[in-house]
Amino acid sequence: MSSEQTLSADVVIVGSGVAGSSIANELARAGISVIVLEAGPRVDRQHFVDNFRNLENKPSYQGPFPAVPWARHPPNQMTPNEYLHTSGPNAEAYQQVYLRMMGGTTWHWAGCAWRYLPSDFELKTRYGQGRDWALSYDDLEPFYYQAEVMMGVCGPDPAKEDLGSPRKQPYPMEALPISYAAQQFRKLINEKTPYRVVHEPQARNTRPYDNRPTCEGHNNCMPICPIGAMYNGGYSVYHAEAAGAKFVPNAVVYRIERDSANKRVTAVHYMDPDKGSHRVTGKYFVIAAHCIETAKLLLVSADDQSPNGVANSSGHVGRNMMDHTGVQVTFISGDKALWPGRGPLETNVIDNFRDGSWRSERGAYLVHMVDDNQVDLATQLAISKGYVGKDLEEQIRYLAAHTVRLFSHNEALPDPENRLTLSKTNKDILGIPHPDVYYKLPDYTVKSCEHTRGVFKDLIGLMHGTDEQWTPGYFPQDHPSGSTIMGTDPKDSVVDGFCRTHDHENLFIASSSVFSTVGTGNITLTVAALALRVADTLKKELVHA
Amino acid sequence: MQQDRNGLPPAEWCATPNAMRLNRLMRMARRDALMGGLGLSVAGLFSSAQAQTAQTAAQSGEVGRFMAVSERLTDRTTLDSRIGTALYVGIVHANPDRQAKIQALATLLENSKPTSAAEFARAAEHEDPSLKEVIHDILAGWYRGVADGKVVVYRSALMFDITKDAVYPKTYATGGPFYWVSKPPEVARPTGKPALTPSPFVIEPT
Amino acid sequence: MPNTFMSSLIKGVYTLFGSSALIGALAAMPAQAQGTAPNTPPAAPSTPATATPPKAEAPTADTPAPAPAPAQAATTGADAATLERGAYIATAADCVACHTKPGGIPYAGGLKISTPMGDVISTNITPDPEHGIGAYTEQEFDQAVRHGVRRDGAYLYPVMPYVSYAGMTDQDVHALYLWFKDSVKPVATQPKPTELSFPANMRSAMAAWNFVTTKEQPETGDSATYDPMRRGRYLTTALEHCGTCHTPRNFMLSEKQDHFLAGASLGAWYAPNVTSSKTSGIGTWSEDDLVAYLRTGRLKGHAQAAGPMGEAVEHSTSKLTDKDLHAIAAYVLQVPAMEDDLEHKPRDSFGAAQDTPDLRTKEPTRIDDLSEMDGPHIYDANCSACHGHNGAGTLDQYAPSLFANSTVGSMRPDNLVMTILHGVNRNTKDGHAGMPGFDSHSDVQRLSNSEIAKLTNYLTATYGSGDAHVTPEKVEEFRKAL
Repeated sequence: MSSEQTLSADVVIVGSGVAGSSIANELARAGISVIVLEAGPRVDRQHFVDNFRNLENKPSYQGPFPAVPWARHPPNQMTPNEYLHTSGPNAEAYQQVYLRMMGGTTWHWAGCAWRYLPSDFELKTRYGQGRDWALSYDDLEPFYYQAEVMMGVCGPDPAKEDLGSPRKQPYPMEALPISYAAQQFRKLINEKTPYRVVHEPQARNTRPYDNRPTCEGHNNCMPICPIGAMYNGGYSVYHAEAAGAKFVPNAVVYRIERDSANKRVTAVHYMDPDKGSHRVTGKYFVIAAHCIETAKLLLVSADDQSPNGVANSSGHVGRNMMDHTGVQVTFISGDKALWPGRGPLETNVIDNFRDGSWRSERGAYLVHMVDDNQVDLATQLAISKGYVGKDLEEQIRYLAAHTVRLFSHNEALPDPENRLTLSKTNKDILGIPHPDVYYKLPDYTVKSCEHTRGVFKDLIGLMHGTDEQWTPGYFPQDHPSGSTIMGTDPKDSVVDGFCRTHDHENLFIASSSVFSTVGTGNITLTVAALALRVADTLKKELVHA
Repeated sequence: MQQDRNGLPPAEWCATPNAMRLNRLMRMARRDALMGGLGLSVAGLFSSAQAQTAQTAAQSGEVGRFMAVSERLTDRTTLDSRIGTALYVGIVHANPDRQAKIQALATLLENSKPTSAAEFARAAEHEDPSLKEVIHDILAGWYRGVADGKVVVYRSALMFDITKDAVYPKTYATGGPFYWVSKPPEVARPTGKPALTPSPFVIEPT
Repeated sequence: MPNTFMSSLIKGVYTLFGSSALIGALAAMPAQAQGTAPNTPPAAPSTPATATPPKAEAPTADTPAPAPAPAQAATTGADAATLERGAYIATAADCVACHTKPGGIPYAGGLKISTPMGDVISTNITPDPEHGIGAYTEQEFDQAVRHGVRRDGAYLYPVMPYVSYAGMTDQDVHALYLWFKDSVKPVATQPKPTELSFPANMRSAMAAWNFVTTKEQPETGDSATYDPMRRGRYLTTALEHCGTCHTPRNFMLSEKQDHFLAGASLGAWYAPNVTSSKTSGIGTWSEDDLVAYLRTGRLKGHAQAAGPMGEAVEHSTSKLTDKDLHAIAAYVLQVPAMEDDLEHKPRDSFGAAQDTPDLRTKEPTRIDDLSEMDGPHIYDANCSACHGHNGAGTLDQYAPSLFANSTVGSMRPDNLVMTILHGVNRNTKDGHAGMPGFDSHSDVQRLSNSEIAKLTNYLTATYGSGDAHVTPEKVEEFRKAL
């Protein structure tokens, strides 16, 4: 079935998350016509807030977002699950979750808006590991700032707290005042260890910003900020629509059509939920569909011209899958009451392990002290210990006040063997294969995680901790990257330094899938900065033309 | 269906978070199948079948006995009977054998007249070790607000009542911007002892 | 037309004069400063390429700085005391509210003030000789401010509250004139001219209205030396022109002097009865209460200013001296009580904290299930995060309680609906008060007419004076009113 009507625009974008919608916003404001095709539906906040409260397993941050059948996303981080199938020695460590809907996965991020370190872009040159990016920190710096203004990022005064990523401008908003628990943690680390705790830069309002309110500390950044104080891609969707961009929900792109020379993309084809097929033409195309779905789309689009998939002459589409696979522990501090869970979720980071000469041997990482309400966990723990009645209530209070949770983001390396392929057995209702991922943690990451465990054990000792609960194995951080890796050589990479595919001159990719290394900071700000740089390139080329 | 899984007893296949989650999902799937086509809720509270259970239970005094058991187990004298009714229906729906066991607890309560939750729980486990699981269900119901793998109450769960001077239930924080900078109350190390034997504790997976 | 009360008045005037330009009178005042905001493109995140990012000390909202920095060497030779007095008079008269467009340069005009017959565009009153009032003599300035007559002899649209300013003393007009000439930075831009449709564009009709309407009588002497009651009257009636919004108008659209401050609709927002009535007005408030309200825009546990009153507080009353605020409060609280036809119990006296368990029966629904919830659930999902599950607001009342709240308790749901639609954005020395709006531009949550109607009715039934029975159609009228 084919639609009579052909949609057309200067730029056609696949995916409405932070990458796709911010490009659409920039282009529409420059008077360029834009169509954004989003596989998932339109959504709204109030229903997610209601869903969260009705959710039995509150820590399950996919829980409030049951997917639509034509654009499934992983229902949880379990192996196996009904959508993303992982295999290999560390299958459980790559059980990523993400959201397919208008605005994308930032509906349930924690707002951590890190810039990468300059060294993250030169891992090969500096430490002989992994790869170098095809761009430098300085190339990206102006776009980092643009992304910070777009999202509304609060952060520390660089003169007082240098986070290692040089800034030409201060943060758009002042740093968030930190909670009592975080103050105590900071004090302990600063006084009793060689490490330091820094303010985490966050896309969160510390004052009214962009018609959204100041954070009120609902402690629910993940899975849903109930008041809109934290940025999500939905805002960029709204702003882009106001500027004239056209968004088509429930449009599942399944084919990328090229010209006879296979040099230019001529159209993308999408299916609606009823399997009706539609063709959308344009001058430029941007795939901004999340690391996993972007690679999946390029592979699904394989045809006679490109039997291994679109933009895949290198064979690297779907390879080099990375994440911040980490370590997580929860324990009961024997020191004074901290009462975590007052204020936003993630505000404090030990950043001493983000860079160092040892990076030639083992991966970098950062450590989050999670400021997460622990009342429910305390209750479950106290009941399992056998307490009842008044004694139970005293235990709940004590445990909730003394629970500490730490987790880490440990750096992976791009290994071509860590690979996304199309499922041969599972397809969605539109007939599109599910993604399969083989994953084996690089030794580099395993060594890093071992180091982290050592540091965590020291910290547990320092806080006189008991009741350690280590999350079994390795902990996926939902920061998948590398599946359409960036590089200067078309033989071993998929896109160039401007995120343009080597194979197709008018096809760009805006996603963490282009990352050449994954560094340690949360990936979203870098995704946004790269996307804004794509928008900048497109504006120049379209205006020039 | 729980029992069907690989023929293994729950203790063995509940060992990992993943397995625990699968167990829960399977339970939910079974419940959904049972509930399918039963129609819309009555009074916005229960499915019609559950509403009937609730009504029957209330008439027969089951809920009253559940409330008495609950008050003793929580060392509280005023529990909300609307919540209690919903919890009772959920607990019995998840595991029909709980109906008899709750009545057994009620009988024990009436006969032995324990003066504290700890005394009552200790006596119950002594009489029948399987009563521990029922006590866990009842405590999880009141303190966590869940029964039958579903939320019965969220913000009204007792765990938030106990901690309301320090933290808010997520999404219901009304301290105003930056309230979190202030110092929360200190908490003395509790001196009470467990009344029941310990059970494995597994953090729910996400 | 949003408001039946006003529309009937306007029809009357239209018949009388064959001109309805007079309705401009109703559209007076800071009300519309906020009103035009939704018509401007939503404030998008600025990018480094196109705009400087918002500074930490200034909110992103387009609120103009209230007082311009002296930009020019004194040209008038006026002494510092006179200029200071002029600046204070300008603040008390809240000139900036209308003569500045959102995000624009103070006093450079350009604010679109919507009236049912078209938009009145406020003029440039900076001392630019060509585009502003730089060429005005003091007498010409006085003619405009106190008599509504422009330099070329044309009558001003009574959007300009010259009937109130008519009460100013010669000395204060003099100081105001010198301050404008001396201290306001000239801006050489010309706001778009006002273009009302015929016959509303006949300024001659204004002459007729000007002739018949009731104006304040000029005060005399040195207003700084008045006793508190006289000073309070002067500030209330002449400078702050409270009656422009709060006093109902007669069929001629003149303020009904025998109903001073008895409450009136502004077409969308409602300026309530603030007479000394203990049932319909604010007679239960103390002088300190009213001073606190005027200084900060709120009286904890009773009332908050939003919309036009929020702006009046932000730009004007929050900047007055304590002594003047007390003078205003003392005067207002002795204004003869007027009983309201609808409200017979203080607006801030209704409701109490709710205490009901949140029994839940639903499990998470699919992401594309956007089905409309009922009133209590709309409240729970959108409002309770800040206003509390029990309606008590935040501990510090940053988000106010919804019970004992004059906006929720009013028999007229107008301001409640408008607040839900447009939110609150009020800056004073007391801090910032902010609530996101839920209209069709909201980034937080866009609520439908039906959802807002259900929410309003739930709120008024639960925390206010009873179910307001607002319909979705009524919400649509409010939505379109600004």
